[in-house]
Amino acid sequence: MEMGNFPILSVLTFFPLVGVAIIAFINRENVNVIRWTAFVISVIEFIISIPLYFAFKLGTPQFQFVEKLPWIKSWGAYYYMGIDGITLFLVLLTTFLTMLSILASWSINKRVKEYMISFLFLETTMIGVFCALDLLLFYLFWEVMLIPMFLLIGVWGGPRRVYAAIKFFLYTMVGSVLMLGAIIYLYWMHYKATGTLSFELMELLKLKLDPRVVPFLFLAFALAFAIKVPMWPFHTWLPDAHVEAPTAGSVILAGILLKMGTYGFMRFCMPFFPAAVQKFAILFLALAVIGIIYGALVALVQEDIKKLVAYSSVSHLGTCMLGLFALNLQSVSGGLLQMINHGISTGALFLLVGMIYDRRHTRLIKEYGGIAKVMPIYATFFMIAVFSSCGLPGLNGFVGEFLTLLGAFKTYPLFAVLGATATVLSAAYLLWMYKRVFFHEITNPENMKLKDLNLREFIIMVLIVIPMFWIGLYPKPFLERMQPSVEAFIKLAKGEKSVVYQMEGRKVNLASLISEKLER
Amino acid sequence: MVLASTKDIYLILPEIALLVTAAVVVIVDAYSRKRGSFLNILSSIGVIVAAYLNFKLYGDHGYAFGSIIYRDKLAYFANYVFLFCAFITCFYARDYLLRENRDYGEFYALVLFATLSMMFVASSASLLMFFLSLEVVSVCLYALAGFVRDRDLCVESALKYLLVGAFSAAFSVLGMAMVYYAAGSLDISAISRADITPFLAVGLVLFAVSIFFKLSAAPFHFWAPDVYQGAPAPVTGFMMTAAKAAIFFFVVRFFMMALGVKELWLSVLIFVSVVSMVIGNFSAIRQMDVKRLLAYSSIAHAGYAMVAIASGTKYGEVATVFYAVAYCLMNLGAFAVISVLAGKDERYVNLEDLQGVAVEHPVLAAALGVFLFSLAGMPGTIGFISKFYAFAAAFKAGLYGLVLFALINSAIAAYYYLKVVYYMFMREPKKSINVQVGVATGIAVLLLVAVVIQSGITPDYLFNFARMSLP
Repeated sequence: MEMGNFPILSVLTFFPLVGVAIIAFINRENVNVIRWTAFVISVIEFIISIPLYFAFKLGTPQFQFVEKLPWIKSWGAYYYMGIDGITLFLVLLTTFLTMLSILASWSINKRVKEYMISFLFLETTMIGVFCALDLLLFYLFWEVMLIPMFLLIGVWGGPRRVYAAIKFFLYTMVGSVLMLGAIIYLYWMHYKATGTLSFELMELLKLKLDPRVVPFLFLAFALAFAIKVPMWPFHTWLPDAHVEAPTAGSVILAGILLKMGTYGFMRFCMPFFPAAVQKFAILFLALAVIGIIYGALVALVQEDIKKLVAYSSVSHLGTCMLGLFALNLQSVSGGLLQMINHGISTGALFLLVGMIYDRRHTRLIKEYGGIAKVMPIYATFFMIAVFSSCGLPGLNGFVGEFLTLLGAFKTYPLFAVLGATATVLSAAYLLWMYKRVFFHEITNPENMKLKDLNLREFIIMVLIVIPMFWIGLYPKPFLERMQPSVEAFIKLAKGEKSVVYQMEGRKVNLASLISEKLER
Repeated sequence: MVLASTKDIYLILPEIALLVTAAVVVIVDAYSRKRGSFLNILSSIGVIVAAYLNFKLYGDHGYAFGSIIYRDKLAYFANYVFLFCAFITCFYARDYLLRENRDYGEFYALVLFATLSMMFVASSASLLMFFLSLEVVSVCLYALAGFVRDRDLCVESALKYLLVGAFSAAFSVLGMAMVYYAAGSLDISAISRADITPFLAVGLVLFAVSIFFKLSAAPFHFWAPDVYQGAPAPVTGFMMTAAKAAIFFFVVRFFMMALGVKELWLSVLIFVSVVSMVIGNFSAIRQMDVKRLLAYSSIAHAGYAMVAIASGTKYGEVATVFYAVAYCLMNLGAFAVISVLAGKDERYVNLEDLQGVAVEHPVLAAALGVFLFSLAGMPGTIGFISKFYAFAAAFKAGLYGLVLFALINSAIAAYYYLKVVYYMFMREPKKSINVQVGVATGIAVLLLVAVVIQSGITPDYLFNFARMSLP
């Protein structure tokens, strides 16, 4: 399939804004029209994104579907978009989950118009973050994304929504401003070395930096991304934000926004500062493992299902970070795949929790019990999602976790062994929760009247279960698309800067790496 | 010496246009004292004519009236900024004045007089000219601040502004006297050539203090919250933006271009900048009155701009000028929205009164949201572009610590801007506030929203214009 010069990434990025414009002109009373418009827009968006998968060239770490236009000429900033094996599935995941989230938002009755506008606007910024290859452009999307998410949590969230929303915003903002400082530093260093102004990822990657400042720059970037992931000591915003956000907000938050942290590590933080990666690898691996175990243990004692799922995210993302910092092909592929898996399975869990919350308006485990009898279909889907999340072979979670731990064992056996406790612990907290919610006798009479899934909810669940089985049974199409980019990432993170030229699609020219004023 | 040559007159044509307009406005107002006359349109036309003349003159350099006025590209650029502020203020103020039963022509005349004096401030080549024109600006602003004269806060605001203005003028005059003694002249070019003696240095510091006063930079900021809170919203918008921008342009001309930022200056600037950011931001966090909150935010913004000034390079000059422009656009917009939301007698300026306003007035609330996010430095708005460039300029000059401090401060500042957004969007409305949006205000607000976002996404044009205007 040939894409020609069709600017598919720009279309993907800005198409939701068309939806925003349309919805802005619909009367706010026509709630259903607004919902359907938003849904149709998100379906079209998903359909537009499918060709990415088929037209994606295998076997090259090059950026594909590249678009490059001058943006702020006087600053040397470009509108530079492109995806590689790392971002391909993140973009697909974004369009997919947004579509499902909008479908799952039918229960929102308050200010539907503003809700849908925020949601579609959020989609624009999320895709922008994944596609931007210019640091200024990336920063633009990265920060602007906060606004719709802030509104989604703060306006449509639960009782403590405002606290959660402001905490979420400020935490992320603090991380980002330090990253901005580091970006400015790279920008001027590049100018000093070459005499040209540029925010381009590829150009900045070629820089040779003063080894004394590298650790500080690394930490400035790492803080921004570690907050987003969230890594262990910076995770406190997550349970608040997750619990208070509306269902669809939680799905996007867990499914996409957390991935931006790990994505940031893969795209910027680690390739920029390989020296610091070596220096801090043990620290970050330790934090990742602490996150894995801590998240799982805290999840074990939660009484609120949604909070349980939220803490399980801390644990699962720890696995991703373990994979990234172990730096070999298996572990990084596993970590990347685990990012996608977590988006799907945790997304599914949040959707399911939202469905039962819509019926009973409580998420406390003790309020339920035995509801498998009245909601058999719901229980089945919940079972699949639980198995997927705790890594049962045959489902997606297994492939990701197994690869990650396998790879990590090769380089850091101790951390891998500690990280492997996650598989046991996640089975424990998820299955124990499942048992208490679904099995035994129905003790609470209110649960007798519960209705099983309706058609809309059924469709959502069927759609989200498909990729679980797909990745679980046949992960090859995913892994083979990721592999070249993952290899390139590992080389970069180990300090082989010449890979940049492969990623750019230019001939390798070692002599022209920017250390002196040789190039241009 | 010849009194004035044709060339002199020619170079100040924009100012003359404003003067004529102001006179016409007063005369028309005197002869037709009927309510609701469209004096705003009349004065806007005058401003547009002045802008056109400015456009025609752009690039015509030279001294006028001996050596007290110097016209260069920077001066013309500054004129555009003042004219834009005056245009917006005159244009939408009519709605406000009608609501408050204060639809007098003096308002427009005073704004126009102030504007033309600002134009002289930005192009003064001698400290004396600077002082005189700044005093004219101030006198106009005293009158404007107390324009709704039966509102206590307004009167208080005007009085405080007058007292502080007199106080800072004393510093200014004393400083100028010492400078004159040391350098033998008040011409900027002569001062820049003079040897730095202790006497001259002290004189310059005293003069700088009066400038810090006018910029409401801490620790000379005490007047700002009261004055900005009390004055009528359109007036606050005008004096917070145009009047401060005039000072910024003069700072660029005098302190950056002529004197240069040297060691002593650098430490003074860093001190003032840090203190302004800290005091502005931390005091704003607790405010519940929107106007007062924005007043403190303007103190913090003076601090951010000082970061750019401290860099002392060409980049810093561009950054300062651009920052001044961005600052004008955002605050003008914010106060235009507030002038509507505040309702009659500006009763609803407390956040508690504004809560849930987004339900009834989603567009107004969203517009204020845009301005607040821009003030917070959110990418996609001009606030980010200006802040980024200011910090980048200081970074390039090697002021790493200061930039780091400013970055962290802007993250802290996000809190109180968010607080306003939170009250507007996330609380249930308590009572319905019955406010009406005038056509002129609506146009002005939408125009400013468009400019703030457009310059935030594609700042090239505005940025290059600012850069070209500096030699």
